[in-house]
Amino acid sequence: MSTDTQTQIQTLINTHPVILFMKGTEDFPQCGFSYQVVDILQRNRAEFHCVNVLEDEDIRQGIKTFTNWPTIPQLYIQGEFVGGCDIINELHENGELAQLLAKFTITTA
Amino acid sequence: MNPNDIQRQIENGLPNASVRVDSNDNIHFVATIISDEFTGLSRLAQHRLIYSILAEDLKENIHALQLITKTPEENK
Repeated sequence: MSTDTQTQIQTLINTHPVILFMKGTEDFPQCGFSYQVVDILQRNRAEFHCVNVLEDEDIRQGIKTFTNWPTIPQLYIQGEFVGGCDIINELHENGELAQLLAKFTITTA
Repeated sequence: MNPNDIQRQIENGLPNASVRVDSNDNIHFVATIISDEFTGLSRLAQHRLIYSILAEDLKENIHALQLITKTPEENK
């Protein structure tokens, strides 16, 4: 992975407290696992940023090296890798995800 | 790649684990693994262990793999 891809990924993670590296976009997920995580984040009313790895092959491969995790999607909260689809499902079911996302929910004025 | 290949691969990496791999299309796989080597590991670490065992296959042959990992206690 080139250093500027690594820097680009690090900057994205530092900039967005809740960031999902996924296949597709929030409105048009291109894979079942990415869709599941987007759905869970929306149900938690989380404010999150999506990175469509299908648009950038360097990021698509770079994030796997960066996280030492071979699959997409990947969710980061406050700079920490939380997990892929399986783990996000489990954290959602046992209520831990809601706690992690508590500070980042959409506040309707 | 078929479920048996994946099962054998995981069993080689985790000799005394109980491993079951299901798929109805040989593209989407569900692997259920119970091993005492998971004891004390976070779920994330458990999955990382399996991913390290399947690293090469995940690059090409396995497109969608769901992991269900448990310690023997969790499986009671």
